Amino acid sequence: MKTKKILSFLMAALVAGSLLLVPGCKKTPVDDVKLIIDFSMIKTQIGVTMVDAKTGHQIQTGNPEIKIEGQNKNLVMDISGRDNIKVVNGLASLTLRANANPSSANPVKFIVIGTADGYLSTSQSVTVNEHGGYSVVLRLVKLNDLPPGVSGVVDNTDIITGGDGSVLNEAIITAPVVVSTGTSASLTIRKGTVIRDANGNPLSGTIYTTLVYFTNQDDEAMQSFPGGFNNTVILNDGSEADVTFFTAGFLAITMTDASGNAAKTFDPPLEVYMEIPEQTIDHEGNPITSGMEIPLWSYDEATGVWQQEPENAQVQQSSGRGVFYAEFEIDHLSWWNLDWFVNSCYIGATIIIEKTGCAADNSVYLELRRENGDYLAGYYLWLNDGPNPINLMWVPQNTSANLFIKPDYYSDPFAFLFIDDLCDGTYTIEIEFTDNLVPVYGLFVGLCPNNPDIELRPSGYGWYSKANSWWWNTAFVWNGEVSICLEQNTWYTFGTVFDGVWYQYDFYIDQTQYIFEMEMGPDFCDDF
Amino acid sequence: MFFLVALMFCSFMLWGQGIEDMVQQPGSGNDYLLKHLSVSVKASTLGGGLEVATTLSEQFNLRLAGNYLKTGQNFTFTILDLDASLRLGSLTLLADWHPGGRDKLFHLTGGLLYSFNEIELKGKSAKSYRVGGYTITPDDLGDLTMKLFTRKINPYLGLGFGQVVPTNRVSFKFELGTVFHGEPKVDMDASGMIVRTGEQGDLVASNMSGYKFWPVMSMQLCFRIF
Repeated sequence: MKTKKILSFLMAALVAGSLLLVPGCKKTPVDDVKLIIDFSMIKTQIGVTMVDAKTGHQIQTGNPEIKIEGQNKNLVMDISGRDNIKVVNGLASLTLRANANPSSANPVKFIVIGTADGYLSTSQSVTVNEHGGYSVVLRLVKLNDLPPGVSGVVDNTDIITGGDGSVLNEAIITAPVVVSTGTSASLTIRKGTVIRDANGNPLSGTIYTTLVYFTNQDDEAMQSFPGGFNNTVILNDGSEADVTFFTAGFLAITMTDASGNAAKTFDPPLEVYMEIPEQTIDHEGNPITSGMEIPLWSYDEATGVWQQEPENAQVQQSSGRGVFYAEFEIDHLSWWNLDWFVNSCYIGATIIIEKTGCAADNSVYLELRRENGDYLAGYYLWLNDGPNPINLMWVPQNTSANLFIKPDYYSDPFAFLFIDDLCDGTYTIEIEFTDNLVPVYGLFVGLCPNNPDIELRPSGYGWYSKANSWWWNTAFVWNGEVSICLEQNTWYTFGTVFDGVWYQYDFYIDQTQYIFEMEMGPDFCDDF
Repeated sequence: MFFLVALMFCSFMLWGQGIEDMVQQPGSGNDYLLKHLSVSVKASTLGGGLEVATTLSEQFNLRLAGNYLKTGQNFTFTILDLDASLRLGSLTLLADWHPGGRDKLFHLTGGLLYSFNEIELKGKSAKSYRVGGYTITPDDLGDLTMKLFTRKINPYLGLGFGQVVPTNRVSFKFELGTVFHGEPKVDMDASGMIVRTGEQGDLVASNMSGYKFWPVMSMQLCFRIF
């Protein structure tokens, strides 16, 4: 009987105790749990960096701006999701709209045009054939600090027009001789020439003329070529074609009156004299000779498209200096370009890069050069460990070339590959990085002050550099995650652009895994 | 610990009387069981249920019940509206022990509960949000789903008043008890832009780790069949 009582008591106590325990559990399942939101709506990132063609530094002054042109321009927007693309410190991030589904069969093609005060405008063609990360570098020529291979006259005031827009006296404006090639260019405007703006209104008074001449023998000059040398162009029969240019040199000419109105047309046309370096090789590998014809092209800065002019320019050789030159007339202003061209293939040879080791931003710069050393094209490529197959795109048909692999645009190549046919075949190369860098995984966590229960995992094109370094490496952050190679025990600055705001953070790197917490701006958080 | 106590309770019952003795006293075999058979309707924190019971001996009854309850609750989790649905389904096999004999109403109860429980929290935003120039609709944002699981077989202990097999035709029975289901396990899933992480799952599981017991209060109306 006693046993029964004890057992009854114990059972009752156990039941009562457990019942009392339950109300003590006051937590809900989601207490202290954060709602994590990624940016998976961003499937493609296109980072645009505007740099000075001579120094390579980002263009942070002069109101740098970009605009998008080309056949699929309506599919491109700022990575913030807005139509208005904002450039900060010479940097911009673009993405594709939700209705863009790029593929090899239906690539998204557009042109990025960059402008900045005191610089010549330039552009780059971009082809997106699958979702992912892309990098565009616009190299702009600073008018008062020209890069090698470029010479020019800025704001020349020799041209003066009367009230009807006609030039009072003939003027000849000549760009200085480029030291490396001994060549130059000039333009002549005849007395009585009427200068009009794009609306047909005559320009009167002093005309400020800028003439910039680019040779084809210096990389800095070549890299500034608007649109790059692989382009969709309009031929002189009105048809479009995908071509690769082989340039003999090019010019940028601008004229404005004192009020800033830009000259567009001339009646009668201007006469241009342009010298061609003797080292020039045509598209078929022939050295420049007198009597050759070179197609003449003008560039539409509004659309970023090269248009072939009706008449070719004829190469001549001066009896005095012995230099080659071409003379031609132009009736409107833009960039002008003497270029042979060949049809290009959209998908070219396959290059397989077997990568080991750790490289800064895990990217390399691939530079294609003709066998004579002339620049053909350059690409930034992000590498994973192991084999990285890529296809060359928009490269000239029936052309061989050397592929140089460089850590970045400014460094010397560390690997080299001869490609027999840029449009066909598979080529493999192994590269090993031995830099003193360590792979670092970073998770960027965006916090909203107005809602601490939310964590954002942003996607965006990022720039980073060692403290006090002018050189910025680039990286793609996808849904907060990034893997890059960094030097240990070093301060780094990380930054990104979103909706016109530059977000910058300094971190001391002494580990291989990081969670970077950042307070996000109102553009991200206000609606939460 | 609780499980051990329940096992001890059951062992004690079987040891104390012997199952063979139970079914043979005071009548004879299966006839006795059938003649002391009852059905009950019950309402409890396990849901509504039906139960059949029989008398094993002067001090012991054996009960087999099925219970079902479906309920829900809405609450918010930051920008999500969470819809919590609770579906409790169980089968219980319990033994009542009347320490004072059959004519005394107080009893202790022990046994096992087989659980079909499904507890699910599903969250979705009710409105769209702007991030920069993007409009993020509820469908873009996606869903967050959490499912909580407990053990399938769980011990039960309780105490109550009343006879599950009435002496007369009808009786009323009241019982308090608890099911020890242990720490719930959590399974999380997310779609759209909502990210599921292991840390979140661990935190939810930690939040629920105090919920090891399911309190049971039941009332039932019992009808003797024979």
